Amino acid sequence: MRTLIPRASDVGGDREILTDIMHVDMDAFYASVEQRDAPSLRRKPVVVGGSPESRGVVAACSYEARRFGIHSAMPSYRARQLCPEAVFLPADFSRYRTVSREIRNILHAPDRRVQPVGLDEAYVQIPADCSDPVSLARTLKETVSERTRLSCSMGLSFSKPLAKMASEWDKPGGFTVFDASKVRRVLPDMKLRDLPGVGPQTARELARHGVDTCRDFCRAPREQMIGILGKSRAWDVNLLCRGLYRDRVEDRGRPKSMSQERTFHEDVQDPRDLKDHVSLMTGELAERLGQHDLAAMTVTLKVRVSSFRDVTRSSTLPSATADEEVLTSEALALLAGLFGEVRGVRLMGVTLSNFVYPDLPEQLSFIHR
Amino acid sequence: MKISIDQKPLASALQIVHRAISSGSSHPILSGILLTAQEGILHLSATDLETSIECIISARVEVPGSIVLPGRELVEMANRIPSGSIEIAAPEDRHQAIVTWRVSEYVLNGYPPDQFPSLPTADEATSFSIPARVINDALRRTAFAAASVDAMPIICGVRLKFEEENLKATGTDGFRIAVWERGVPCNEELDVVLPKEGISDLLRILTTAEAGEDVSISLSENHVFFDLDSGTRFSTIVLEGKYPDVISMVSSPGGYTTELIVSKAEFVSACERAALLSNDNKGVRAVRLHVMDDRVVFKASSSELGEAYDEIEGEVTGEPLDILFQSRYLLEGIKNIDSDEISISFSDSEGAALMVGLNDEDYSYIALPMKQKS
Repeated sequence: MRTLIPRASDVGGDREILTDIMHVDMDAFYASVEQRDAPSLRRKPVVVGGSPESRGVVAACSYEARRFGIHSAMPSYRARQLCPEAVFLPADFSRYRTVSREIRNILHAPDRRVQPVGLDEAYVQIPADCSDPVSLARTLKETVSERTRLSCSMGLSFSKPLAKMASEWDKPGGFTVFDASKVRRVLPDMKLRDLPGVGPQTARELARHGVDTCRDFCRAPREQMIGILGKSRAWDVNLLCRGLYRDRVEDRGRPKSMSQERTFHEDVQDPRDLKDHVSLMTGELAERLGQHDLAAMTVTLKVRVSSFRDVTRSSTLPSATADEEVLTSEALALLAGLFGEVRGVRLMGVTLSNFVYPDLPEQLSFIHR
Repeated sequence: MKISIDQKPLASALQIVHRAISSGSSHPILSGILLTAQEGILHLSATDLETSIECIISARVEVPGSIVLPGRELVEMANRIPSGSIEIAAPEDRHQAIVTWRVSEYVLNGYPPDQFPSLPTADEATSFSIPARVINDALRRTAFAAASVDAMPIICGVRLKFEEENLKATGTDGFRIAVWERGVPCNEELDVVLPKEGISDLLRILTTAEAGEDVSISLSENHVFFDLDSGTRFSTIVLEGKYPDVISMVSSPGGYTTELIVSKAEFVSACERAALLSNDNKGVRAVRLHVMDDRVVFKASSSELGEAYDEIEGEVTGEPLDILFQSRYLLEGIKNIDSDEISISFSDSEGAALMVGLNDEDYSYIALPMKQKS
């Protein structure tokens, strides 16, 4: 039997471990955006999600609503029962996305990797040469709050799960640093269900065997834990319980392609209408390209004819561009090439792909072509 | 035509000649090899209209004549025939060859020889000779750097310049330049650009040359010819246009400010290792070099694979430097330097780097780095 008790050496011992991973968690994000934009909603229980009259569920709720026992993923009618005076609002994702992008822009810097998780959370990798990660994190938290007028909680530690636990530590509006000594103090008594990556079902299963905290897990017979969780999972939870789980902050912000698609209620026959749709969709895509500071090389046009047959054509430009005119004329040329083949069109889509990321290094050449 | 010939020399001659066969030509006769027999020799030729290869081997000629036979099938067949004597007979009224050996008889359908394009002829007055291994060395170490396709067609070839007893070969694709230069005692002048595509065929032929064998070079209006004593001739069109003065295009006004002297083998393996963990940018494997104190540090990273840190000791003079390269632009050149120790000179993080061998006076290689974006 091997016991897995956190030791000083496990989390770095006397060696200084850099707390270089930040977790930013927007407090009650959707509900807070609604309250910010409509002063009449402030200090009121606000529930964002499906209507209580239908079979919808709660997507987010303000802290005022949480006091009534409302939480996310709860059926909306149940939320109404708990708090009849709560304000129910449908989710307005395009607005949340805009705010989310604003936050990501604040967090992002050329030497920082940002891994967004949903619209309201992100991990940030602070570069190794940063002399004072705590001040940097605090400044970023203040900047986010000031610019968005929204409250967020921030955790700073040396791994993603620990940073997330730190941001949960003092919600809302908290700023918590889990450095090695703090981790050694608090981690053993942490409930397994509070560890990111341990689902409620796993936690319940372990609790049935008397394993409730990280300390319990580390003391439990290894073979028994493997029997419950399987080798790979048991190893991961073991690392989590000892504060050793490491996982890179991934830059997932880079899209590989962007598409727009329209389905028509009736078959579209008129080539002029088809051209209008192609121009409109390509225009919207070019706009999105610009927002992401990208340039595309390949344009693909998909057309579903009334017989449900898909016809796809694509062409690759000699160099990447975000220019609406160039992209549109390329898409229209693809459409023109299809006029002979298609009559009634049921669905049409434009995809831009083969992106060039302008922040990636570029090979220098001494010949200008 | 009627000849008998040994399998071995026939198979090896066909092996050389068939490389000039055009693979994607619309004209079927270009997929064939022309056989011409007369006065004790068999002459084999193939062409794709840009490059041509001809071979001469001795044969017992009973009836002189010629025929064009399908190249690929003829080569594959000759390779598979057991060693010994083969008889090839092509009656004049039929475009067919009957190939027989021991008890076997194969009938190959061919093409009339008068439809085969006539091959270019050299102006013998321009002919001069230099050692085959010299020209082999010059082309082998520069052709890889030439562009394969480019908006500027003239750089899709190697410039071969002979002037004042000095032979110089230059290859570039705009991102790097390979230059080979050596004094050769021969008072001739030559300035041609050989297309990159044909050079690999020529190199294969040159490696068949005996040690100390000369290759004779001659010209016509738009072709250049390479003849070996063994009777093999390679000819290619020359690229038209003015080859740019590439060296002056990369020289930095401030000159080189940092020099690194390292072991070639150590540099190559560290760079190759680090490049393994770099694949974020469409197959471009970028490696960052930090040159300082008494070492060079290699760094690379990939969001999927991880991060690499490697370092080797070296002798550094001048300013510390941080520079990003596509690993292949460093490695392909350095591997061609014929010296255990190499010197790399840098100007700044966006300037060209010059690589030479401490014991290799013939060769220099220049590579441009990648530009960082903020």
